[in-house]
Amino acid sequence: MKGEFVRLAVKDFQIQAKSAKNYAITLLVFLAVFLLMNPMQYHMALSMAALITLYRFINSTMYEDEKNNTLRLIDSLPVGRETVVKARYLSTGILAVALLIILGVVTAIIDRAYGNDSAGLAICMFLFYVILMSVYMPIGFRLGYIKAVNINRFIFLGIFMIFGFFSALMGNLARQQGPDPAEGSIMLPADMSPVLVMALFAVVTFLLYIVSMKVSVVFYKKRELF
Amino acid sequence: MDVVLNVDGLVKKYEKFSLKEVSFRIPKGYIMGFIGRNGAGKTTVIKCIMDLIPFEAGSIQVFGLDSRQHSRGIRSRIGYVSEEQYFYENMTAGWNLDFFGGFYPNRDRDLAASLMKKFDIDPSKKVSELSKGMKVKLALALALAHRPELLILDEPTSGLDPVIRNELLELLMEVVQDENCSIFFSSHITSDIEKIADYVTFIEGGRIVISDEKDAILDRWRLFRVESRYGSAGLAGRLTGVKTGEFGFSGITDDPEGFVRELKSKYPDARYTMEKVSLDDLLVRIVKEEEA
Repeated sequence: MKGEFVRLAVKDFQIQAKSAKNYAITLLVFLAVFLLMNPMQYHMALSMAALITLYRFINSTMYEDEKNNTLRLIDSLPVGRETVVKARYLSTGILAVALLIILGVVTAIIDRAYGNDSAGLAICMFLFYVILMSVYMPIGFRLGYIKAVNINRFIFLGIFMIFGFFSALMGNLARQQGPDPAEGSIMLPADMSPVLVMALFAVVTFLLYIVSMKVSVVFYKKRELF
Repeated sequence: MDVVLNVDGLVKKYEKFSLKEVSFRIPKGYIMGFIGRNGAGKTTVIKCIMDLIPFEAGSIQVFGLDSRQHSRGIRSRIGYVSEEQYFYENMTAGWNLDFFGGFYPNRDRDLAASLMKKFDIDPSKKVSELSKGMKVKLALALALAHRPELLILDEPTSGLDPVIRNELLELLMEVVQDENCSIFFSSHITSDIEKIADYVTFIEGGRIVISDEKDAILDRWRLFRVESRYGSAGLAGRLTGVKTGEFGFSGITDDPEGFVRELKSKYPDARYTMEKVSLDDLLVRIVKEEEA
């Protein structure tokens, strides 16, 4: 069981390694464009770059399985469907942690050069993206790659629209009534240590990731592959 | 006699098709050919055996174990080759064999390597660069590398040229020399089955029509051609898959003596011919009968 689990997770990295050059080019282009537009928003650019890498990894692994129909072959081997799902969450989780560490270190180094303190914000943003991925993955296991990608576009669009609307609303209130509403909403995090806030956010993200995995197992067991 | 696979009263319902109480068994160490035209239900039966799809009624026992309760354990003792070969196309043949083969607890790396050599598959070649025949061979290498006790092959020879098909059939004959391995081989190419099978099961419209030893089937069934002037409805009714032509009618029966007796009793000077049937004749006539 353990061996199968690791074998499947390693497979994801082995297959994606073939596209390492494409991953690197995409990231460099993205970072170059983003940083040219606003160099001081580097923490945003880096967290978005981490998101792009993670999102692409999830999509590409799903795509490889579905394009080649290998889920069918795996299903005929002595491997449980639960193991297939857990292995995908393991490989994605490993990548997310690696990206988180790289993101934290790189942002901290740049922060030091510019005298900023944005590493925590960059990490929290990335954790938020991981939560979004936790919503996305069960859809992929239930409906397959093509349907999941299409649905995901609407989810992301919806989330960004809600955020945009919320930000605009807060900005309006702040202009009309002074800074109180916005301050009130960030009062709790401001009283707490940033490290503690980050740790709590990380724990919540991890728990949601586990819940997402359990949901994916249920979904994938019900999925008709044949 | 030990039985490796026992399918009993299998029922699987789809909206437009169903398996109707499918029953047959494979004795240990033999090859069973599973014949039927496209859409007759061969692949559905195989998917039920492999526990890849649920079924409504009946039971399937593999190695004496319930196929649904012991699915994983059973799969580790089965070698399965599906109709289409699914591999990671951008990875090499060797990588695919190693990756998928690793899920079998009894996998024998040396055997896998020797099978690759025997099948003339370059392990460093990407799967996308392999021909269909080579992909089938790769799938077969994967299915054989853990020394399975039952090999289930779903139309492995369809779409292959006669040379490659013949090579594969010879290979299967070799495999079954090891009496621990039984083979369940589905195909609509009856000549392939006729070459290698010990037992034959015919399926048509989701129903098993014949299931017996191949030689017994070929010995028992006869093709009759009778001149048209003797073509009474009663006589034609005793035959299966009757075809009527300008000069007479023809059909097959598994009771040739009974048919001749009845023909002679009604028409003592009746002129007819009686021939041995091939599995191909049987399939065609049985399909015709089911369609009638």
